[in-house]
Amino acid sequence: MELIVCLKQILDPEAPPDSYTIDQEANRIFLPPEIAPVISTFDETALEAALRLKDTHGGRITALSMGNKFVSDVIKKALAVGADELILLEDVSFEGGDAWSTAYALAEAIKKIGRYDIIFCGRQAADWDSGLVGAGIAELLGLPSVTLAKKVDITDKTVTVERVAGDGFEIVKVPIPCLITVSNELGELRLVRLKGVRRAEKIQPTVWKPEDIGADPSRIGSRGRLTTLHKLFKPVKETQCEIIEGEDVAEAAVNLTLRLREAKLL
Amino acid sequence: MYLNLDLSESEKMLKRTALDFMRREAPNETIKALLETEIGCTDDLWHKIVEMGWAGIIIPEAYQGEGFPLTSAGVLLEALGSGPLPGPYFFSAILGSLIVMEAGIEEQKQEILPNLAEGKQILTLALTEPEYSWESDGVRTKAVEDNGDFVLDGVKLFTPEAKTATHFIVAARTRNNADPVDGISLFLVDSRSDGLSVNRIPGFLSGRSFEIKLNNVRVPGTALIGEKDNGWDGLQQAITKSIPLLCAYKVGGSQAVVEIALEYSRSRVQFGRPIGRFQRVQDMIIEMVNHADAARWTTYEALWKLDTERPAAESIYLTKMISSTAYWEVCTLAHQVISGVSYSEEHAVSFHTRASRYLFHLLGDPAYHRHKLGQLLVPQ
Repeated sequence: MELIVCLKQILDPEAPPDSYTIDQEANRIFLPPEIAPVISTFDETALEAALRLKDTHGGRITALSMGNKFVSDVIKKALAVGADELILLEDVSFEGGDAWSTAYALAEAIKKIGRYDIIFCGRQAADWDSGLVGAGIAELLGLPSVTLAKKVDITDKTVTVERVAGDGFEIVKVPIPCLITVSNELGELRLVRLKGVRRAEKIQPTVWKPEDIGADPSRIGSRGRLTTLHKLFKPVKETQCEIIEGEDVAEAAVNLTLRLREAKLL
Repeated sequence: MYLNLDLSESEKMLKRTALDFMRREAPNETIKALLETEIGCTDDLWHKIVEMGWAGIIIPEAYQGEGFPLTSAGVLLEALGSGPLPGPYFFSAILGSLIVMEAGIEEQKQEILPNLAEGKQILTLALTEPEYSWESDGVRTKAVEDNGDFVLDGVKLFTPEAKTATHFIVAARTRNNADPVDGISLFLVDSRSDGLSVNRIPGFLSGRSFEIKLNNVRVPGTALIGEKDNGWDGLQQAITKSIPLLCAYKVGGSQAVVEIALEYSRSRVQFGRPIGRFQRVQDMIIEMVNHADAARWTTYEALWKLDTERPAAESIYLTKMISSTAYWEVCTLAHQVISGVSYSEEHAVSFHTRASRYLFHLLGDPAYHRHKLGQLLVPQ
């Protein structure tokens, strides 16, 4: 079984809010260099889904990522936990893209890889939270796709997916090849064992430039954007505290209820 | 090779994983629960540590270990110290492995080291006695040869993690000589041996520190680690190499406490501003950072020297002095910054305070190592 997992290296969303700086001119966010980037947590979950299939059914996992200035010890985590190959679409021209240009570049790379039964993506990237790239890749490759998977298994050539729904989950069956986006309910990515660290030392990533995948330069990175980012800013939160009083606790409770109703919160 | 204290790609990956492990497996409530037990570690947690490969991190691959350099083990211990994760890890995977590697004969390495790497055997060192000394003249426990066996008699005090260990490495005197170094032998003693009893020493500072009574404990001749009468040198080499790794654990603890105090000073508002904006609080935070950084860099310099086979004794004595003092002082200052709540048993700073007081003395306190450094710099 051939599995591809798309991973995105992002700024650490757990970094303290005051450590972020925003370049208003370029509409870009920066973190100080001592705060290392991470793999988007939803993509890590997608990798865990692929690893569980490999554990049960065998096969081969190719991890695929697009960006620029990858941090080796971050992105090679995929190899350390069990991916067999790591392909990096790494070039300055991949920078500044949106979901559309990212889906295009990844789809072109997947065409070049050629062999795949299931493509896994995170349900959304943990930086922009668009949740569009997975569906975009499926559309470009003409594949059926299932979103928000919390469990994935395969029998013969049919993939059974438990899909998160508003009031529980749905069971969906889909033939291979297909694309599945994975939700955090599936569980965290396994930890890197020491043997995995050694493994990652021995495998070097394959780096592809835009020309290696035959990408149209006008459709990748910032040139390929279909969306326009008008303004990037830190939201300002203002908190006002109002003390509701009363002669006793019961009266204070009544006053609180009246105040909440007045504010249309009840 | 020039001094390079940057972590390698693999070490950065290991550090991130170890911190992730601590977040998942050893949050504050788990550590608090473990600190209240005599074992400091559950079977499940130990199994997970072994699964990660950490029990064999410094054991060569030829003995089923992972064969990582000491600096990598330092990175791991720093992460474990951030908890601080209690239990037998340091004493078995680091000190125990090193003793077997430094003092054991080849057959013993082949037999014991794979068991340590697989977590099947858990070791601890039973060295200090009621006279409390890290020197050879403090060893009074006797081992007498009898029909190819040895019979051990004596009391070991302040033995760490003795309720968790499956085996003790007992330093005992097999010959009396004017030179106290001569005549000390090391024995691998099963913790379930007849005549052996283990009792927890109560008290705030002792943690999981135990008294071991050896009353005519008979062990086979094969329990002798290395050569009879010549165990002290191997033991000293192992202890010396293990010290910077113990210091790395304290570096992790110090850094964690600095971060807790720093976060508190940013968020606790008094007199209309975060307390971190007051000069006296800033002084304390800066002093804490200074201590933690001094401990970190002396520790990693010592590990670098050991890994690159440079003379490391000076750096090892220095880092034990500095990191023990640093951990102690950082905790004291954190209590002053945070005040009331940090003294409660549930607060992470109190975990670290107890660890810092216990580890201050383990493998020699700063005064002991200052004396050793003085002897090295100005030979008598």
